Amino acid sequence: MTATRLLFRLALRSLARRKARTALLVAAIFLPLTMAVTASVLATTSQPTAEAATEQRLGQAGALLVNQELVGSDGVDAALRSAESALAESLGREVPLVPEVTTPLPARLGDREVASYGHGLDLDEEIHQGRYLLVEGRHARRGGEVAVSVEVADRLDLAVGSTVQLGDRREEAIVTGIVSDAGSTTRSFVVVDVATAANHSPEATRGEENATGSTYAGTVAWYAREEIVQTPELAAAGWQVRSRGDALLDHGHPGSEGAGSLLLVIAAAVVAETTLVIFAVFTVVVRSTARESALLAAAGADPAARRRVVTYQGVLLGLAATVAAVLVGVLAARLLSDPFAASQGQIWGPIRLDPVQIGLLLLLGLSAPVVAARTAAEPAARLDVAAALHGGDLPGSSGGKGFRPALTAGLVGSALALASGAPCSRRRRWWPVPPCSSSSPPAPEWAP
Amino acid sequence: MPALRGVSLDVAAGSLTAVMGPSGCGKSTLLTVAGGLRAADSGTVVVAGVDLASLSDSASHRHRRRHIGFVFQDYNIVPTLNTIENVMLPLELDGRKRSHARTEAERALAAVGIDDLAARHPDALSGGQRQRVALARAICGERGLILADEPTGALDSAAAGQVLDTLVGLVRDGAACLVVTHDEAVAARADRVVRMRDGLVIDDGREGSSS
Repeated sequence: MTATRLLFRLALRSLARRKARTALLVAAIFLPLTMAVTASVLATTSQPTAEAATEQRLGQAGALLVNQELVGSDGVDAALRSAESALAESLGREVPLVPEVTTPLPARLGDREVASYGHGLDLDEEIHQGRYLLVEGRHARRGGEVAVSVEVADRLDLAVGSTVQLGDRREEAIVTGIVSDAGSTTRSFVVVDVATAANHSPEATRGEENATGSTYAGTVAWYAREEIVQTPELAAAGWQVRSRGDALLDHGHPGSEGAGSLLLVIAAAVVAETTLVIFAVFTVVVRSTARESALLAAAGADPAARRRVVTYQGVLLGLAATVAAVLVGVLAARLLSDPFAASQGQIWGPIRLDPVQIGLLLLLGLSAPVVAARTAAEPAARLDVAAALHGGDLPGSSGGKGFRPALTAGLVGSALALASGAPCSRRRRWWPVPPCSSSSPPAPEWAP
Repeated sequence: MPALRGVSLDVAAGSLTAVMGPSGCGKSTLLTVAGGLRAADSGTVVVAGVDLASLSDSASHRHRRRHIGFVFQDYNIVPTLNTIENVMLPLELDGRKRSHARTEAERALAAVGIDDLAARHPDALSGGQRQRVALARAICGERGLILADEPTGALDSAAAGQVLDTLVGLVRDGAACLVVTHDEAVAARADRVVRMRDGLVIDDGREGSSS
């Protein structure tokens, strides 16, 4: 232990003695790693958590139910009235349902029109909490009131208290609030009460025709507080059920996994290149400090100890660079998060770190200088002490050997990156990557 | 041609043996072989009762840390360590406790008369002081064999005199010392002068032994 402390002290002093070189080496690792950490944090933050995505979709509901057959045959108004009894018939018990009607509902002001969807629901209901963000004002509670999305408000220059015309019938409504969808702040929609949305539903979904046509035209979804799972009986009666548990489990998005892998592969390539630079620098350092190594040998340092003095320099460089890179990278991500989210038309919330990605980046940042230093240290271990003490040359250390640490770092980094981004279904149980849970769920075809 | 041929030499505790001869005669090689820094092609080197050739690599390094101290002409000090840390170096490499190493180093520095320079950085030491730091490191712990290669070669006469006085003092205290030198002043103070030429000992310094 005493010897290890001594060797670390020698390594630290050696780095401190050559400040400019040390700063350059730290920077060589720090810069690409910082960018990779920042990109990783931004990518992770841009993907809502399973809980957040489920809350955006289901609010506080235990299940979301759709019955297009019911709506198609009876129409929206009748379906709204008969849904609970129809469900009780299939389920064998009564379950209170809270409806949401979604229908095309363009908003107009003068000669300007925004093609938007109308969501008919009571956002003051506890079950809908978390679905939309109320930016200003209050939710619409009755006919003649509307909450418009930020995009609609922006395009029609609306403010709380403005009057806007809704639908083809140009019914006037007072804007009571501005709302936003965290998943897409650029989405055009309005929120009205259930009856208003039902009244604006296309004729085809109001009982006159059987076919519903568009998925979104006059769709009704019901929210149940309790968790309901799909059963053959429910399916036979036309019910499609998405339970909260299913929504959480199905929370996968292949694109984000691929992006994470790509990021890590690029980082691995950059770090591999950096490894070459560090190896070259350490090769020069080992040659220039050959007599120091020989002196250590004369004092009784064995080849391993002489190698460790150089290797520990790599460890210290790696530690300094990676710790700084994570701190600065996270800080940069925090500063850039809001502007990036805004540019994507999204609201991301607090920054989040993917521990596996950050861990792999840390491993890359730490291993690159260690591998480079360890390889470059070999001549110090194989030193002809007597010759070095009299100014002789070190044993050969051809530049070609730099390829080995770089290749190792690159291959290991790429393999880890690819493995971390493997599709969930291909992940082995032993692989320390959490289940695919950091990305937004694909919207179900039938869901609003 | 071998650097050393048929050399047979013993260095007793409490004696200063000087090795002299023209450049390239094998003096420094003799020193590195005696110290285990270079293996002999044949023959034996026994230090503190142990044949160096019989030791494994790790045991050889350990033996050197514990029994042999080197002093070179220049570049004797690890530039990133201060005076006392340089003296503590062999003991710390040997895994001794830092407090023990410090105590031993302070004793060694006192023995060479520079205990007041313990915290000084090598850059702030004169050439003579550096050589005395090297001497302190050479005797630190229980080490009894000092192998010195031109220890006064890079010093002015005053500093060389001080270093030589220190070296002789250490020998009088029981250290065995083998010094390679061109300096007649060193030879004059040695208990024995061995002369070499072309890898051979031509005079081992004993009466009537000239060959």
